[in-house]
Amino acid sequence: MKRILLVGNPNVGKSVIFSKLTGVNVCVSNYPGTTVEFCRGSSFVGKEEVEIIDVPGSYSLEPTSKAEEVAVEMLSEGDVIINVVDATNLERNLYLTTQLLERNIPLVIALNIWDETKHRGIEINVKRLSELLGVPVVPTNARSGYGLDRLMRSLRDARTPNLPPASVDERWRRIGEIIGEVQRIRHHHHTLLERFEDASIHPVGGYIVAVLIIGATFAVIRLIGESLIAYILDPIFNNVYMPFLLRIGEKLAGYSLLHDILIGKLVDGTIDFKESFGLLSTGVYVPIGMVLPYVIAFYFMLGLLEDIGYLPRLAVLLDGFMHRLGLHGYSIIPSLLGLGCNVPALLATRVLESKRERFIVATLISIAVPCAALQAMIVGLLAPFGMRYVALVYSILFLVWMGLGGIMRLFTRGFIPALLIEIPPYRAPYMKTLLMKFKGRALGFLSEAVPVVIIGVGVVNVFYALGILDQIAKFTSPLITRLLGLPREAVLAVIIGFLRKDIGVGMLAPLNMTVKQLVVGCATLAMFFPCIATFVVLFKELGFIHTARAIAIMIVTALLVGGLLNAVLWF
Amino acid sequence: MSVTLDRMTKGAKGKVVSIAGGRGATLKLAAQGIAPGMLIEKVGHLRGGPILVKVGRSQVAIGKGLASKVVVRVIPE
Repeated sequence: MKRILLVGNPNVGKSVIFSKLTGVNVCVSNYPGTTVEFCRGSSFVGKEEVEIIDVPGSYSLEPTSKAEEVAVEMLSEGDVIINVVDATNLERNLYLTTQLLERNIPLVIALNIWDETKHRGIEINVKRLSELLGVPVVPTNARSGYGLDRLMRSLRDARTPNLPPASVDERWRRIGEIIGEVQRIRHHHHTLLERFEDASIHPVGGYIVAVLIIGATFAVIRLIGESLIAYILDPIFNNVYMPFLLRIGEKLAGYSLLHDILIGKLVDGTIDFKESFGLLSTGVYVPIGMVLPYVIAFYFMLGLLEDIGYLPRLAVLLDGFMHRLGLHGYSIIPSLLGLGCNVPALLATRVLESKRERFIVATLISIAVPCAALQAMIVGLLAPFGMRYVALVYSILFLVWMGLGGIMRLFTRGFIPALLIEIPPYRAPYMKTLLMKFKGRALGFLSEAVPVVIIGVGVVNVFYALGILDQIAKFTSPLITRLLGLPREAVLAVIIGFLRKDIGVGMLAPLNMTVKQLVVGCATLAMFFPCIATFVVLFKELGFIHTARAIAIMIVTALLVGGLLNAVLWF
Repeated sequence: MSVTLDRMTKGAKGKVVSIAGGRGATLKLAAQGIAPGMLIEKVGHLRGGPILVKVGRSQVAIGKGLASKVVVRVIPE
């Protein structure tokens, strides 16, 4: 089977073309990194079946990050290249094209985002462009499907012009000549969107826009999450699932051990989903009834910001600030991802260039960036006492993130790599690929979280039944009670927090703690050991020595900050 | 008049003369269209942070350190 490679710059609609050609639904995203793991599918040219591979977006064939290295490696494995080019930004895109033409692989060009050229006052002589480059050029509109049939038919005419290798200056000179001959730009008035593009990166206005956008994003996440719980999940759990569980409970009446493990303890004669702590009660309710709604809301909004093209702007705005943490602006993107789940966040650190930067970002994420599951539990636990306590925990974590970053910058060797990123134009999100990406992330959460939560609840119940937990609590009680001021049973939350942070925090609920103890407990648990999934990825990404260092930093920070909080909080 | 990109005034246009950096920096910049002979326009400068330039039809943000390696001959208005 012939192998066709889709190659092009980031943000040119490559992934949309891929999903249209193959029917496989993949991620389209405005920043390089989410497609490091490339996508593969199949399609037909005439009657012949072909394999299509979506190569990670790259600006040149001289790789500057891991993602681009992958792209270059994959080139040698293809039979034909479809070079996807953004017609609204032909000049920059042709740099990669000229490099591809120096390779010995047949090539056709998809001149994508073709409809936009009219709005932006750009005229391109497609026929002349094709003659000058020596390969077929097909105007396409991936979203509407325009030109894709012609693109597939043109594969038969794919050519290898075999340009001699050129220097950087020669390449740009040649591109200048081509552009001068094939492209005309008419003056056009700035659209409202273009004005907003400028405002969102303005030295003053940009920060105002950022505060508004982030504020609005979190408000919408809360609104979606709370609405899902109030109107869909709670009614289902209370009216459908509860009677079902109660009936099971009655059948188990004679077997108290089994009842305790499956249903848990009854609170006021009935099941309390948050406190009963049985496999089928709390074990099911926490991941699905409390955490999933916020995970859904978070990933939907993050996907929207990604696809619109806002995140690179945020990275640029925060570059100066991030330098104080030994990082550059781009590292804000993995950190933001961490607010959903730390696992994909750690994977996203691969787009960062230096090892030092990856270490700092990964350590900061696993200590001070709470995932959606953890946040849902913190809010669930503290909000009844007042939102100011929730805000307090967030502020503590934010200060730790900043302070620790500043300290790590001083004590790690290396330089901060320079920021160099394209600021893409805003684009309306393409709903189909947005929803598919979102579905993948939400299902990923369910399949990863639900089994681990249930196992975690099971382990707690078995330990409890065997009396092991009492022994551990006795052993560690000086640390927990004296240093942190928590009841000694809270140590179980710390241990179970290693399986999943959300059940760890959830275990604090039945302990009847004061608000101060809850704040200390939530903050300390958030900073302490990452959950096991995060730990595994941390280990894979950083290696043994750096993971050990990260863990040491983690334990010291959690105990130090927890002890300090216990000493200074006055309420 | 030649200046480095970080010292160029906002709104000024110019032609890139040379990149006073290593091979890595040169190639990275070239991929974004910042190479000798190219026309660029400085559109902004964020406090303590990156410099914004327009190259052809794209906008690029360049960290301050990297921008100080790009030598530009300013075109008088």
